[in-house]
Amino acid sequence: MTPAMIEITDLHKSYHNGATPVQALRGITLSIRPSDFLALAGPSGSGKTTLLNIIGCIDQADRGELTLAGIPIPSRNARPESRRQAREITRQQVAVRRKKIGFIFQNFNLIPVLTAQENVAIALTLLNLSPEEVFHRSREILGEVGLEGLENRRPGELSGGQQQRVAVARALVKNPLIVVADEPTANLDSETGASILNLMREIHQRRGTTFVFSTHDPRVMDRASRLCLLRDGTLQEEQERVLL
Amino acid sequence: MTGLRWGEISFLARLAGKNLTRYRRRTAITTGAVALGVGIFIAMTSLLQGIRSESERNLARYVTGSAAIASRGYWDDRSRRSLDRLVGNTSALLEKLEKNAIAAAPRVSFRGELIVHYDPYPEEGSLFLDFCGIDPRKDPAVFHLDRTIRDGRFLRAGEPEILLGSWLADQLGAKPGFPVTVITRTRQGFHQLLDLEVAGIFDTPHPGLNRSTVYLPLDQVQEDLELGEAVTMIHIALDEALPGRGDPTQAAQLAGEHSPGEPLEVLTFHEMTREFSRAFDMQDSMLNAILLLLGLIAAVGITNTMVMAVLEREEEIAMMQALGMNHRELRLLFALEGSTIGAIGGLVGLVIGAGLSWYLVTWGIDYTPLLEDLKSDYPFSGVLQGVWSVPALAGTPLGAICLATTVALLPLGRMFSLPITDLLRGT
Repeated sequence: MTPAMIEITDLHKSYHNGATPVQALRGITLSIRPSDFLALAGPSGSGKTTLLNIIGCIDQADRGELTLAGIPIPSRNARPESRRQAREITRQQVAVRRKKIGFIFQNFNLIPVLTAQENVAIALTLLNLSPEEVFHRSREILGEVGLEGLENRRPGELSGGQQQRVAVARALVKNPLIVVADEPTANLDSETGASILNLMREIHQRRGTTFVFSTHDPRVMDRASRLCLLRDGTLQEEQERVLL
Repeated sequence: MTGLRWGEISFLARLAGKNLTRYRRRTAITTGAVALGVGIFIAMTSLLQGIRSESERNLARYVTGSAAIASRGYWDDRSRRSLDRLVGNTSALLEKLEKNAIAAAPRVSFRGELIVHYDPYPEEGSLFLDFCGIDPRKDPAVFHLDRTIRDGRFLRAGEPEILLGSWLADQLGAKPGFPVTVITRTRQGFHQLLDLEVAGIFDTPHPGLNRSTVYLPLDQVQEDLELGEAVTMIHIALDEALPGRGDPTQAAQLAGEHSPGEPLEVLTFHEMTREFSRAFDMQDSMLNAILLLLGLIAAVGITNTMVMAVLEREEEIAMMQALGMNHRELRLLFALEGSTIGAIGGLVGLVIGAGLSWYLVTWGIDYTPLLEDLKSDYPFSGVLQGVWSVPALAGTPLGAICLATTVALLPLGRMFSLPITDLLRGT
């Protein structure tokens, strides 16, 4: 049996919305395989984004267990014994984000003063590669996502779909084990959204990268190899699909 | 986590540079504020240091010399202009000094009342002034008074004459050849009335002298005040590049040997100008206060720019953290943005400051009318001239860079205390 890329056991997370406490995740248990192209679906407030954020190591669960590619990610209840240990945990999370996880955001989150190529290069620069390698790899991935010839354009000179392609390229350029995408098509028209999703699927199949993304769009759900339905912070249903 | 590498630093530097072009007007205003602060500070330093160095030069050239020999206790009691504590047997001491190649000028300082009468003067009147007996032959070896004669001529030994300052002469309407009467007291305290003639009018760069000090031949003074050959002080000129830098040890030794029983002391330039030094130290404190104020203005400007930059880029900062950028790298990015503002502002300020300093060094600012009204006793002339202050020229732009870099990091503290997810939501 293939070992899980992401192993989640009894994950809990709550936060405060103003003065109101919100129980975002209530004991989620989920095993995500390396071959998964997994969609987290559910209505607003179901816990999709919270779960993605915890998987992406930009948020911490209150309790429960999370393992990413064999690396245990501590929950908040696993209180560090010292400041040094706390710093070590933070360092480990930063290192995991830097090397193993690619992010795609709903709002693209590109830096407006940088060109498409430079936006992609950020992720590689953090890996301490040579400037030549950073340049070649970022141009190559832009070609792969269909942006050849647009490398020197700034985000403001690109359409929404093209900007999200840059964001996809930025997430993939460092060859991460996991790509986390929060509603990647929400700000795109249906045709562009479909093309972005096709692109993500192609890359998933070609590179074998694990994709976990959130959506509430049924057309996007249909393209996932695995669908997890969340409601009120709990996993309601799992569906396995065959990618066409 | 390994240290930062050159490729990463270079990328962050380029990103910092591009970030500054996002809001060009805001960046320009902040940079301009820094430049103005640096420029003004450099110019003020140039001017104030210029005033101090001119004052010290004028004191040395017209009032104190490099050092002076006086009877112990005379200097501390000098405001009384008493003739009780004098240096006696001066010819022997002057001879010793001369043999040791130390230029010396004996002087007698005393108080008196100068009286002028209608015709030839436009009005009658009298003034209490500082009088100084000088040796017309020896005085030029230590002082520059002889080089400042505007009208008439310098004093001659043995002549019953007087030199008036330019402001005093203008006030009285005096000209060379006009008579004056002086009432003073002899050493024994008897009133003495002197009838003198104006030999010349001097115009020194020391306004206090031009206004309230008059000079007479020393031999006349010694005779009229019944001093014998005693003087109040013997001023000496030492080999020195700047006032107060000469070594008075030999003069002190000679003064000690001169008459073991007579308590003489050598007063250094710094001892004689302590009051002025205090005033200038106060001026330095004011300069530091101005520096602090300018620094605060620049700091507020840069902080405001960087707070705006951070708040507007919350999501971007969160994205960079999500990509794996750590706090140190983000600090470096903002430090580079701040230091670039500081460097450009500092450089422009340096040009402004150097330009203003050049103007002050070359032309100066003419404050003559103001000083006339103020009746200032500061020993500098009405035209305030600057000097090239290398420490200010080099240090102020560097200070601006350090300040800008430091304050650029302030807004990040709050940002780093918030969860990345909150920043991504823009809350």
